[in-house]
Amino acid sequence: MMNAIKLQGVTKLYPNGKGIHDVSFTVEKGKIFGFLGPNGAGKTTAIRTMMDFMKPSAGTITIHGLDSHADSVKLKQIIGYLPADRQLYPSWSGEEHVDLYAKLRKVSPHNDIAKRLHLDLTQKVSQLSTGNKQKLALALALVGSPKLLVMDEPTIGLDPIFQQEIYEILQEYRHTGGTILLSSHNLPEVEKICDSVGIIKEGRMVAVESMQSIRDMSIHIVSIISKGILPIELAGLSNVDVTHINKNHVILKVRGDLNPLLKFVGRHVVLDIEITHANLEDIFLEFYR
Amino acid sequence: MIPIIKKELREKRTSLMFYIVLAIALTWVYIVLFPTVRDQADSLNKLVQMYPEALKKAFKLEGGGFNTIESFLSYELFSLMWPLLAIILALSRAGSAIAGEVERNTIGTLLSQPISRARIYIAKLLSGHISIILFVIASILSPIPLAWLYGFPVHPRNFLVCSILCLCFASAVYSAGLLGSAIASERSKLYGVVGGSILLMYILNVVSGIKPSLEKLQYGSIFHYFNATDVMLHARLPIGSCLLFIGISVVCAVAGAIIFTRRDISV
Repeated sequence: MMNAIKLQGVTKLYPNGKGIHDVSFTVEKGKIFGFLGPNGAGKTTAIRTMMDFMKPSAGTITIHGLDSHADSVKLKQIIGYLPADRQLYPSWSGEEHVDLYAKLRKVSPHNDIAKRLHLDLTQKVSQLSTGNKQKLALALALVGSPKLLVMDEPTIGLDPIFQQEIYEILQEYRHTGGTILLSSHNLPEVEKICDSVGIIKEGRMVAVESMQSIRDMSIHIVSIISKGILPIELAGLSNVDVTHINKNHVILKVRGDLNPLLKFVGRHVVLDIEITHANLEDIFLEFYR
Repeated sequence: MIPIIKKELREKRTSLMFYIVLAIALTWVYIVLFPTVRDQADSLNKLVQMYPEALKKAFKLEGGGFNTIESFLSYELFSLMWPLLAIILALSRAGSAIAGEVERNTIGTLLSQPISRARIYIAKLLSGHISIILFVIASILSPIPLAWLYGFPVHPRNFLVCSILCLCFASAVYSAGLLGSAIASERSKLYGVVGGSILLMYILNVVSGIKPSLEKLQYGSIFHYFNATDVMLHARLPIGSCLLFIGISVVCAVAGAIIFTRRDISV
């Protein structure tokens, strides 16, 4: 399958030495890619270089086979961009925003998404709530039916009902062949809608995995309720971390083989035991240990 | 490009309208005051004649008087007040055009659209010039109908010729401001650097007129080339000055466009 996005050895350093170093990843067409990392890890810098707001000091960025800098104007015709801070004109109404976007993209200002999100486009941005500003930003990103959506925190400020609506819109968009790069702090959201994830740490990619591989990673969360306190520290298991302990209830994170732990637990009286696959948040934290 | 020009003009229409009305009101005040000044013209002219030559030169109070509407306005309006108004308008427009949008993060709205940075810059340049043209027409040409309204003799040609010089001057200031705006990410820095440079040039012009030993400093000031008083009195267009202002405008516009298309913008 052809790549919608391909970053190869992209480096962009700020004068203070921070930035991104040798970042590489690909996103297949028609997939949703979750871009994860804490504040300051380099997600926004990578997105800025993709959007040609900044030129990388090294490396190449190809989007739909076109160079992100040389073919910037052509590419922006097929990219819908939702920035983290919304970048709207406070004294303008939603209609005026849609009208400007439509004229610059030479498309009809007709906007179904705004209707679907129950967004009143006649109101000025300064009068909109945070959630409604976010809805407007999303509606604007979809003006002209772009082939690729680059979204920084798309559901921030939205209540759970509208978050769900957004997920449905994004899934529908994906089913029409659209690709999404989604930067988010909301790990359950990423786990729910993304096909693959990239994790960036201090400007470097530490993992690019499909969501299935993440799920298949041999990390388990083991919750044990024992009769009396379980002396887990006596087990001497290097692949086990205690994440929670309260009297006779202990929650453990186990990397790799579960059997040594199970053998140790078998020597004690267990009232209840639950073993689950680690979720994305646990795995994300694993990379940040 | 047209949608961006329209956007710029629509965003600034209220402040521009207010500014134009203010400029016309100021001119109107001068027109209303003119009969009183004209009645005292002889004594006022004598008073000006008694000023030191250097001071008259520095503030361009030579060759005119208070007898005609043209010479009166050249003293009262064009020697200081009009350039000041034009500079404030040009710098505020230039500052908000790029640095202001970077500061408010709204520049990302334009940069994420399928339009090149060069076209965005040209759109900002043109929309700013439209504002300046409207201001020049209102502020320089409004005295003609106002003078007719009050029955004062007026020479429209003098005002028309003066408006060309004023337009070239304001264009140079706006283009220099937009160049600064393309470099800066904050308006305050732009106002500090460009505004400070213009103030320095004004001081140079005044000082060079007062102190003969510093006479050559006048050539480093754009105010030396902006002699609207002379234009209003004689209706002679200073081609050299106009070409200089146009040259500054073109050089700054090209440099600004190159810088804006190449710079990193953190939005």
